Amino acid sequence: MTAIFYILAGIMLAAACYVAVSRDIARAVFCFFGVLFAMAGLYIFALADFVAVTQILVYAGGVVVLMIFALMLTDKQLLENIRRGESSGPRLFRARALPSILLALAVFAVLLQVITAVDWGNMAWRHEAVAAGNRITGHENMVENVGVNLMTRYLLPFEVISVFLLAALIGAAYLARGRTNN
Amino acid sequence: MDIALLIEKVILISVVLGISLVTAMYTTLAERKIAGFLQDRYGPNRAGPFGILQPLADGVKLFTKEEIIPREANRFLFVLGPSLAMLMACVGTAVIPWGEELEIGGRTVSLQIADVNIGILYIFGVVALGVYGIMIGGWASNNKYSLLSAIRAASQNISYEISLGLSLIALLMVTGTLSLGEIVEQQRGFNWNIWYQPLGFILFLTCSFAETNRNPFDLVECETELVGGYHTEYSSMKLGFFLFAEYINIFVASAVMSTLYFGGYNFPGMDALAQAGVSQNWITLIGVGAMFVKVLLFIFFFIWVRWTVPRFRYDQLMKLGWNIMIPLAIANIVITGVVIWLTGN
Amino acid sequence: MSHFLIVGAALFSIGLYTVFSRKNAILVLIGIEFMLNAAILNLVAFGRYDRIDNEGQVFAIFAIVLAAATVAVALAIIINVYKQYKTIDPDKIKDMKY
Repeated sequence: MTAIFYILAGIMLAAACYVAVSRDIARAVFCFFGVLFAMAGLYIFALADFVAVTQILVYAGGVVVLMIFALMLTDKQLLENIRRGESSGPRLFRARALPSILLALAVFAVLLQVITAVDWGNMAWRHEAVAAGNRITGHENMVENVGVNLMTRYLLPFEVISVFLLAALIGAAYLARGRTNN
Repeated sequence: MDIALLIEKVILISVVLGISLVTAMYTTLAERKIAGFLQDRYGPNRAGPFGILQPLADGVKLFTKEEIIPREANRFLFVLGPSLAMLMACVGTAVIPWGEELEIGGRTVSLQIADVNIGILYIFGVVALGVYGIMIGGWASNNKYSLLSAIRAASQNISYEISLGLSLIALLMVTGTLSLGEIVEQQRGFNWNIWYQPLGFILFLTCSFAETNRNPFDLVECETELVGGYHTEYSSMKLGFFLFAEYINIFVASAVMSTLYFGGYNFPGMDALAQAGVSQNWITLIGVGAMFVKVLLFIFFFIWVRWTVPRFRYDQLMKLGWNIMIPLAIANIVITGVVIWLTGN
Repeated sequence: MSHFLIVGAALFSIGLYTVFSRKNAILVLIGIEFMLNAAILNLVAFGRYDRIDNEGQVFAIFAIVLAAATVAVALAIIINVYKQYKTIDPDKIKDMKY
């Protein structure tokens, strides 16, 4: 089982790297799709199946379609890229990308340092959760629990998000409307 | 992991996949035969008795035709398009319960490949991903007709997914579960969901026409405006995959509709048969038969509509989706909620 | 546990690199999505120890929904910018008004 986790994580990171360095934007977007899909697999490994399905529905089903849509509408360079086809492979090191690489590596080093510095086996909250039976084991139906929690404990954030989504919907429609007055 | 379970699932997956492919294959023949009948002419009747070998002949023809990949196209995406279309069409069969348990040699075999507790969301996710094959194929062709078709496919699918999801929410309010297995069990006998959700069913049916890109909503491949739509540049078996994926989609959509609204493998009088001492295995087999009859009726309905209803205009399609379907779906949710509240459960 | 966090950290760094180095607004947006996804992965990984309240999972769902709204608005802005400037390279867009 852990092997599958590493395979998924590997696919995800490889696709993410491709997105970061590829010059072919069309392929980059499809690799983004691959990243999201592999992420959904990782969520299932974290025993959050509802989150995984939400990820597939919202991201892979909606966000990437929107992105491809925008790409089709905006990028003239894209058709050129498609025409050049195979010749546009990724180019890893560019001089102007050096600061970004350094920054990303520095952040990664700091995060790695923090993660490895923590002794995960002896965290107090972890022992408490295991002792109180508050740990997800993968045999229970979490969807029902998540649903009940959404409608009771987290009702206020839920409603705030609904209002926010409405605002975003109106805002996006306003921005994207045709300008008839000028 | 249990080896016997693994073998059982592998056999079940192969059988289900095989049956869906064969059904899709013969749907192509049925489509042409029914089209012939509706237009008062013979359908294909040369290959074998009543043209029964026609799908095989078509397959051989598609495989042996010259395969052309346009020079201006992106090869990788061009091949990826039809493959994705086929894949996404096939994976939908995994969560559909085809029947009750069978007892084989003291072992209870469930006729559902995976009874995941989020079955409906899985179906919904597969539907959402189904558009990728068309989008990628149409875009990679680097042809203006294909590109237009891909944009149409994306906007049409997104628009109709909303009302599809809303009509499903009303259904979920009635059933109270996301698992397809449990939803079918609740509809035991003749207690089908269609009696509780008639409006929801009509909405779902209309949306599934739009999601499978079938007439009257086949704006994506509308010959009169877009040459061949997204598959203008495709030839040989890649074209075959696109066309075939559409028929598998019809099969899956029919199976989902039978499962959600028409009781799946349940049939009237199944309890009476059980009391009369008929063994569980026979009831299961009859149930599988009932499921297939329902699926075939839906497939027939899809074909019937295609050859009788003319195509919409694109703006009419969008108007129908946003101005009629979504308000109706929301009204359906409100009505369902009020009825559940009034009846106290 | 720490495996999830390391994968998340790596994805976050890749996202950061994408945001800073790419010259296409849509790819910058994708980089931001990477960083969000890395955060969601952490939420979900810690959410394993919260079976009763599901705090991690619920807020992961909220984050996904928020990200979708962000993308919708951002893409609308990008398309508007493209109409105005005929480019979506963030470095080339220098005028504040038109």
